[in-house]
Amino acid sequence: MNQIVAIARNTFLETIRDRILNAILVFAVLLIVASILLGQLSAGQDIKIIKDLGLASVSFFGVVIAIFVGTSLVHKELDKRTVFVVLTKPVNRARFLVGKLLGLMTTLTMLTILMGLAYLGLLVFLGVPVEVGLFQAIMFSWLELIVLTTMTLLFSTFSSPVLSMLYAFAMYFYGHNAQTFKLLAQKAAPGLRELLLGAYYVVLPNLTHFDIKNRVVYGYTAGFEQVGLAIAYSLVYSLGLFCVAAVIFHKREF
Amino acid sequence: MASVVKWVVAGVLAAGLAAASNWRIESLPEPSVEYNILFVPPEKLVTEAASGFDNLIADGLWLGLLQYYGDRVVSDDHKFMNLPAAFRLITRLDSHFWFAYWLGAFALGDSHEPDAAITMLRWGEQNNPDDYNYPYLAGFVNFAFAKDHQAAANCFERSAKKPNASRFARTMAARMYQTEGQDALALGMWQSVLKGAEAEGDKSLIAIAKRNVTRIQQEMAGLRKPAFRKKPRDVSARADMDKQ
Amino acid sequence: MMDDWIVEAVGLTKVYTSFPRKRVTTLDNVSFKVRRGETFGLLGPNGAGKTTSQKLFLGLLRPSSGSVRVLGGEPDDPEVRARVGFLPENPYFYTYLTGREFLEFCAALFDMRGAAKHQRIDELLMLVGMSSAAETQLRRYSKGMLQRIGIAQALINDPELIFLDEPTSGLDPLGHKQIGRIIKTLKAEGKTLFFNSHIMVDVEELCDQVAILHKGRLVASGTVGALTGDGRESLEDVFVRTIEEAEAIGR
Repeated sequence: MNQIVAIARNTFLETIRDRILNAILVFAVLLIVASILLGQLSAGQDIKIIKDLGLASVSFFGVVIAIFVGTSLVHKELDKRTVFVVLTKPVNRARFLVGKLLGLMTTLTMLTILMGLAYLGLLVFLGVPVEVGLFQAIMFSWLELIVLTTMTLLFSTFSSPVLSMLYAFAMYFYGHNAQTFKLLAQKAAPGLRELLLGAYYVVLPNLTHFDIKNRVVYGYTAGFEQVGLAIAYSLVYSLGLFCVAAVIFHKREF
Repeated sequence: MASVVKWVVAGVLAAGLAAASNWRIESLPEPSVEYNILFVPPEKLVTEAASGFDNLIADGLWLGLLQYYGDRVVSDDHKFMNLPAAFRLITRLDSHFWFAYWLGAFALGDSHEPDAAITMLRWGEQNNPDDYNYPYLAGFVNFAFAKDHQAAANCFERSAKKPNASRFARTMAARMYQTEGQDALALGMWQSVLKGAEAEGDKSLIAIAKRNVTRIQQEMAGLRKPAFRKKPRDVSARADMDKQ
Repeated sequence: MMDDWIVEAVGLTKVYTSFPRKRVTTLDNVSFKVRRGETFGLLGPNGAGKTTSQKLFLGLLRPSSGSVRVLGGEPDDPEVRARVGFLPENPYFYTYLTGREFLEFCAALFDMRGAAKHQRIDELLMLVGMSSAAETQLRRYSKGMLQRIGIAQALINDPELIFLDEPTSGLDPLGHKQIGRIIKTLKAEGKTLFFNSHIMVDVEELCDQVAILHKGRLVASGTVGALTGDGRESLEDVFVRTIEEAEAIGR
């Protein structure tokens, strides 16, 4: 445990140092400038647009940082040969990955909380009632970040940062259009159909499960079951990804 | 040292040239700085690529549409491009965006596209089945722009059946039936308006409803010449516009 | 027990296969042993397979054939690693940490905690002469300072066996001297040292036993005394002659 905490802490420090926190500043400025401009442009729909823009930005910044930082997470250690220092000590390789993952997740959690506070704070300042659904949407974005971070970690155990990034964005795009894939799969020839549907349910991520931001601005609130299932799906799917990453990393030579 | 000077001179020169060309380009004659083109990206592409950012994209398109629409409304020619496609795309992306439907209904109706407005509102009603506003607005478009009172009556009646419906939905439906000469339907509607008004204790509405009930009963009995009757108008081409 | 072998390589071979069908043999059937308490120098020109050998002993690579045993066990075994130290070539550590933070990080990887940890870190900083720079970020360290903090991290667990990959290359004379002094101290403490080098003067001064690698093959081995004929030839001459002979045979 001590080892994991040390690696996580170190990763956290490293990612924080990457001026990631500037993203939050950009986020806050963007929201405030937008809220001033929109009042003049949007014919009375500024509150709706600020709500949309805020939730979309919380999600977008998180995703971009998860993918950009996540892909270089392992590669940087290889590139700078710091991995030699760590892995020649009695550190289990899977624990090394757990530490890296937790470190980046700490950064992303902090980022999400800060952006969320800035967003909700602005709404309170503007006198807009803050519904439970808005909190839920932010939490769901965070659950999505767990999946994306684990996924980029997996890619980064066997691929270069640029390729990992491409894979990760492709999976993100797929994940948000999973329904289309399912429709196509159902139309495929028998045999292929079962294969594709299997991939749909088992292998590929369905990120639409974490996307309630378009609904909550109209007062939608996710029920207890939906929240529970989203948490379960995020954790279980990430665990699956992590196991693959651990196996690949275990077999890897440096 | 000489090489640094070289770079500084080159830099200053480049900056000067950039400024000059910038100034020249700005002073080129421009046709107009108005928003005279409304670009609407292909719906299929946008909806597929939105990846969960549907609302935000709708907002962006909405802002663009507003600037264009506002500009064209104050211009003299009152010609609009792409309005149906723009409203359609925005409401596909964000199917609860009531204000977009509302503006769309008037903007499309005003630019002689009432059918596009009705189609858009039908989509809105499908996605917001408990909201009486969508069929109500559709009724209004049918009445004011399409001049199709039969279809309007159907829409108002549907609106009246939704939860918390505006009581004007019934009044409007009743009046529409009256103008179409559908006395039985009109009578029923007014009676139901009367019942509602009595329950609410709204004296002025009770008076209006009573007056109309009596009038229709007298008309039906042949005691009185029909009022409010609209000249028959051929709307068979839009036979399906009132059906859900 | 006749000898206490602490590192054993038997028929060690490492072949890298890369796409599409390129095979590069970095180590070819290499065997040697290192006794406890010895200072062993693995010599060879660049690309001879020195670093590959060390990585095999540290479990960073796995042999294509042959076997390695370190401290009587497998290099992968955490028990074994807990008793081994390693200084990589041209170490480049987490630059945003201070010297002390970096050593604390390494100590945590050995599950060290509390007062014992802090005491050990202070000792090591003293040993490598870095006490005054302990609170400076590694990004501000010179190459020699990095090398010294690198030795400190390799010693954090008080290892029995220490692998040093080119510990003296690329240092200025002062840094060179300091590293030499640290290595001698370790030797005096009875540690087993295994280092890779192509700097013959250092090897001659510090090592008991040497092996020379050339293009992945072991071309000579023995005590420094035996190879140099008890000082009749310099080790550098022996090295150059051995490599040239190997080249001639290879051709």
